[in-house]
Amino acid sequence: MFRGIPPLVQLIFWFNLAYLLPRISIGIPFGPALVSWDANEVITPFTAAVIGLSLVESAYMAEIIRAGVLGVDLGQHEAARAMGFTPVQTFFRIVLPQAMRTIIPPSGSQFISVLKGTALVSVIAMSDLLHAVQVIYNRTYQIVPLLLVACIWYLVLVTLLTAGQRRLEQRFARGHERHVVPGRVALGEEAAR
Amino acid sequence: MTGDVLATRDPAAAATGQVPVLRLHDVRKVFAGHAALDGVGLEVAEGEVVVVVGPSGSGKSTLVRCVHQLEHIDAGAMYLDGELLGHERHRGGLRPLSPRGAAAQRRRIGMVFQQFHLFPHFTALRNVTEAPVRVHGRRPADAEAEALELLDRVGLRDRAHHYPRQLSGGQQQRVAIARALATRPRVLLFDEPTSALDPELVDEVLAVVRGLAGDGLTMVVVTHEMAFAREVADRCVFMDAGRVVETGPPEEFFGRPRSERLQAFLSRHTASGRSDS
Ligand SMILES: Nc1ncnc2c1ncn2[C@@H]1O[C@H](COP(=O)(O)OP(=O)(O)O)[C@@H](O)[C@H]1O
Ligand SMILES: [Mg+2]
Repeated sequence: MFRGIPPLVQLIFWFNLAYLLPRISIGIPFGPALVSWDANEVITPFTAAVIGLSLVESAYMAEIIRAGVLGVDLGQHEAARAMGFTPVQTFFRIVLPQAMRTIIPPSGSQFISVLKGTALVSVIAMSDLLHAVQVIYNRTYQIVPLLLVACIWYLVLVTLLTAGQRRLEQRFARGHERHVVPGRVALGEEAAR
Repeated sequence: MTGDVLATRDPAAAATGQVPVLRLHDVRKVFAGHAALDGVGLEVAEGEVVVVVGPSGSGKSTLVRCVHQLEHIDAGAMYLDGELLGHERHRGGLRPLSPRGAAAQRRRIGMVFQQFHLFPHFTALRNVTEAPVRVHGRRPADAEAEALELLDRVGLRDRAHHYPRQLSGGQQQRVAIARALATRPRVLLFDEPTSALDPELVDEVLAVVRGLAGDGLTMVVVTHEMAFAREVADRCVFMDAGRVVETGPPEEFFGRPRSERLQAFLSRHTASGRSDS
């Protein structure tokens, strides 16, 4: 469901939750409330941003992880079980490390799209990068230069994230390159001695 | 299984005083109304090499998978060293083993798959040491020393630090054999270990299996390599349509097959030499 609704609509919805539920309380269902807050105080622009963006993203991430885990050959589960691994060991030692190889690239893209998604929260008056820029150019009227500044910052952040992603991908690609990695062989020979 | 349904010890073993390493009693396995195993009995003594042959779809893979509890049997009983496989006593009855309990029993059985199933993210060495270290709690240094010996035994000590993808099919299967040996199993199961290999790589794997047979390991080998079967088997078993049709020592089995079905099978498979399906 959270994937079916545009993130911008969800953000505005969470921000305006107070119209629907004036009070939010934690308590026993149909019993007394233990704690209770005024929704207008709880749903600050920040909480609305966190709830909105994370619900959308977690829905996508769950799908990515599911696909990655299902993509691991059934024979790998069986070989691990055959060797006496418990189901938990099988998952964490054998299946997940192999799934990571297919999980990381789309997760990286997701991560970057969250970063870009933060620009959306400027409409609910939260001071993200874009909002800050808007505030400044409304005062100084230097619209294009300031938007360029924002662009450069987004690019820098995305480049850093992409580099991090590349490193992770290399780490989990171990055993999937055809040539021998010289460093590891040297290490191994040392261990063999 | 009538009076002894609640026993977790093998009643036949108790009666004769002889405990086979592996005994199957009247095992049935049904897939969607079709009996893949239709009352299979089998006994494997210490140090014995039992070779199972039969046409494709006769239930050979299902048999070894059931012994390894990768499939649950629908009826019958299996005993490893006289101990019931797959069930435990619980409040005067039997119940299926928990995943942990089943894992503990599997640790005493080794398995070599047709498709190798090495772990691609580990080196050959790590493939061999992983179970001894993680499952059997061996010290990594000891496990590694032993793993190198095992890799030596299958002729791949110099490939210890290669990843599976950097090895040929025959080499991968030899690493898989070393991996299965590393846990010191009571019985080693092979499910058509050479069927996925290019013909020129078959012999290097068979040579390793032959060596193990010579070392006195207890093994159950499913294969389509008839010449090899005749050479290494202490006893041959012919399966067809989920049943054991004929069993005997290799000279009789290949030289004077009694059942018509085995005669037909052998004439198909030995005339053309090597064949698989
Ligand atoms: N997981 C399964 N689901 C349904 N049918 C199966 C499954 N595994 C095996 N079978 C059936 O059981 C029979 C025996 O299969 P198998 O043990 O693989 O034979 P073999 O190894 O002798 O070629 C076949 O008819 C096969 O189609
Ligand atoms: Mg088979």
